[in-house]
Amino acid sequence: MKKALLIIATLVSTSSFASQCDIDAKHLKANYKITNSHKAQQSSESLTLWRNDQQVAHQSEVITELWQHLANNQIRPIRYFNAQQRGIEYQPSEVRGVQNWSAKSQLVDNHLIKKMTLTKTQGTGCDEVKNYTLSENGNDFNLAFYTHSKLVKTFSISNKKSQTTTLLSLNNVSTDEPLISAQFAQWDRFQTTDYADIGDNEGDPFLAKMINLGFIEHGATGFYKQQGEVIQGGHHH
Amino acid sequence: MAANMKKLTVLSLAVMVALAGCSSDDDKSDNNIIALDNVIAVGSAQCINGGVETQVGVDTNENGVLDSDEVNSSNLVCNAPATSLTTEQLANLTGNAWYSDAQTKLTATQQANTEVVTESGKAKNVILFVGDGMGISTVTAARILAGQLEGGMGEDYQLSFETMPYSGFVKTYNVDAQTPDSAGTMTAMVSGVKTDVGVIGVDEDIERGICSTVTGNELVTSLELAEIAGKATGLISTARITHATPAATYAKSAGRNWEDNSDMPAGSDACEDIASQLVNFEANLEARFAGIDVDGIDVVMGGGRRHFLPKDAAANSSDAISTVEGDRTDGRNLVTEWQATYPNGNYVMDQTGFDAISDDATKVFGLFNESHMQYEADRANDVAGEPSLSQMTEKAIKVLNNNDKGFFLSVEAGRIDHAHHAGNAYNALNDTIEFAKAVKAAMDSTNPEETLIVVTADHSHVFTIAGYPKRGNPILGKVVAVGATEPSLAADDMPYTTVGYTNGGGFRNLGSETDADAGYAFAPVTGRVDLTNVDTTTPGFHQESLVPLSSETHAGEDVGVYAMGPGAHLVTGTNEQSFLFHVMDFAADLVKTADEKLAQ
Ligand SMILES: [Zn+2]
Repeated sequence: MKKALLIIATLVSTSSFASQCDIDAKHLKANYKITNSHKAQQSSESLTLWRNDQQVAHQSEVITELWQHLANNQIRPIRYFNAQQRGIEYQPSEVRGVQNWSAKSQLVDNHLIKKMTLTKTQGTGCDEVKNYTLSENGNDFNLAFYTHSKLVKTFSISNKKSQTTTLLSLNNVSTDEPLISAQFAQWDRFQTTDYADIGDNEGDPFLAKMINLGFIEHGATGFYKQQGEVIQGGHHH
Repeated sequence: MAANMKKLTVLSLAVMVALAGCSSDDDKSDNNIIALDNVIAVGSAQCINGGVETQVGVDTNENGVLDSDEVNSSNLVCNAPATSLTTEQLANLTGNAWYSDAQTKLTATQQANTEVVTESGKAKNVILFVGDGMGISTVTAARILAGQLEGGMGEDYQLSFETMPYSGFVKTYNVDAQTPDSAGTMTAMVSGVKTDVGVIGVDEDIERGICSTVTGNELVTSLELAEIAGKATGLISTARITHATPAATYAKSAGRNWEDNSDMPAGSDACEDIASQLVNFEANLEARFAGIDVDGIDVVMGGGRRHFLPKDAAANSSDAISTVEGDRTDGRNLVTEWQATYPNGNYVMDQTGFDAISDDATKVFGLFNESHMQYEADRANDVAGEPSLSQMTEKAIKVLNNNDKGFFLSVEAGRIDHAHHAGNAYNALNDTIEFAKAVKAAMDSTNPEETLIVVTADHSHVFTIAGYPKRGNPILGKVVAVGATEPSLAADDMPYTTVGYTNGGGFRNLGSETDADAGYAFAPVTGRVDLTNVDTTTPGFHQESLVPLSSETHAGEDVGVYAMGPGAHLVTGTNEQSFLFHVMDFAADLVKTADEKLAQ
């Protein structure tokens, strides 16, 4: 009973602040920097998170992963190759495992946030940021999360034993809707092939390359693994 | 040995003559003459069928035994060849089930041969079943799995089409390719002419991908001939109905991927996309052959809805798997166009719609998925529900039977190929088992005296059954040797599976995942993987492969063809794939009847 009351109180306070923030969390473009450190070595790459209603895209240098959230709660993935303007479409699967919508749209899985401890809340309105922390299996997680836009401000995972740290930090956010819908429309015009059809298209130079060389494995969006398993950054080891 | 013996006999005779000159009294009192019969074994050099060698001589040393130096003469009598074995001699054979089963099969085969109808035109109905990518190793492994799923050892099980009286081999190569694809191979099967890889319904003079080279190179298909002949026509696939195999029955295209207008390269305006050719089939055929009046394809069922719908969310169906389901950029909705052409037709897109189709329906158009239909093992996960291949086959035959001139039906299991490309034997084999069920449905619901059923594959895959597993070993399991209970270990001290692939994405362990395409998140795995603690029989297990490729490939060896009904006796020996059209044509007089119609 005490717990329920607490939840209601939280909801009331949130809604009173919400009136002071009218950011459209469903249509935005957020630029992130991912920094991977291992002992003295450090490398970084960029990642852009795009949200367009029921579609989310993770754009990195070589590829863009796009997910469509369907009415039946399935997620349909499409992988675009930026330079070639081509894409591979995959069958939707039920929301399970890494196919978790919050993991796609927020870069951090709600299941993970739920396991973390809220340490403090800063700012008001659109600037309200909640800080969370978790230590599990030798990994230390620290998250600063914008409440209203549901965007990661900073998220770090460090492992003392292996001396590795991965840091995701938000550079800037755009809510320019025409720009966002134009980008999604451009991806939509890319020529796509069903994953199942790749094997029958060795005559297509792009797909032949895929058959012979394998898919280019992406690394930038490895933040959303559930249950706080070892989370890798952008490196392909 | 035989030569020595002869020499010895001659010498002995000389001694005998000498002896004959002596006093007979002396002989009797001094020495005993001994005659000895030696039985010669069957198979010996002297007598292949056995016999008796009689040796005669004088026991000069009087030891009571005819020693070899005492033999004066020998006489060999060989047995006449045996013309039969006794029941006792045959007991080990006749009492053996392998023997008696084979005798029963032999009698049945003899009987079937006496009933062969060698006359042409006796098949009122023709059904062509194609298992896409169903090579011989796939048939064998699916047979074993089907038997094991029913509680048996598996190896002795028979898939429905394996009980057919005739079978042969098919050489699958395309005119320009050693290892073929579905477009060139299905064109060969339904048009009787081998052509290039990747092109549909056109001959080898085509230039792949060049629209302007189509005109003048179009072929005629068995489905078109049946249509002209006044028969009912039908088309079923678990792939997109615009995909290469089904498309080869109704479309002419310089590219197998020209499934809707958005798939065609610039400058191809003069060519019609494949989906449009399907809904315009009746009008196109009538325009091509002046004077004919046909009623269009009567049953069309498969996937590929996206190629028929405009790229507009408003046209989405409840079964959509994309934000915008349709791909067409010309604004056309081919589903509504089809409905306008056939106002009494049934357009259906889910299991409920399918179940509601009555047997006296005249036109059925079923598009059950945005892209390919589901793998049989994954079918329960479809958004709006969809029928199985066997359900579609059974329904199609009921509807096509409404035409008393008979029918031509083409049925494809399109996803055996896709599961193999994904390196996932579980789905390839389960879709093959469902394919065999569809053939069974056709065998059960047609009259074998007037229906030719041909079952084949368009090409094979690099799928192997290897190692020395013991009898009844789970076909998707690890190799456990005869007499062993633990998996055999390879030279790298790791166990290995019986089925595997020569190339492809290799090992994935996705457990209960029934969608073979879910393996995409992984790069190809090279090298061996320790399978000691892996259950390799789960739906989500992808077998190891030798050569790492993103997608496993087709294979170039021959495939099987199985047949029953009038004309089936022609399905024997090793044939070019184009031969199959000629068998169907002979059985149903397709060309002859169509010619007569055109002459009217
Ligand atoms: Zn294929």
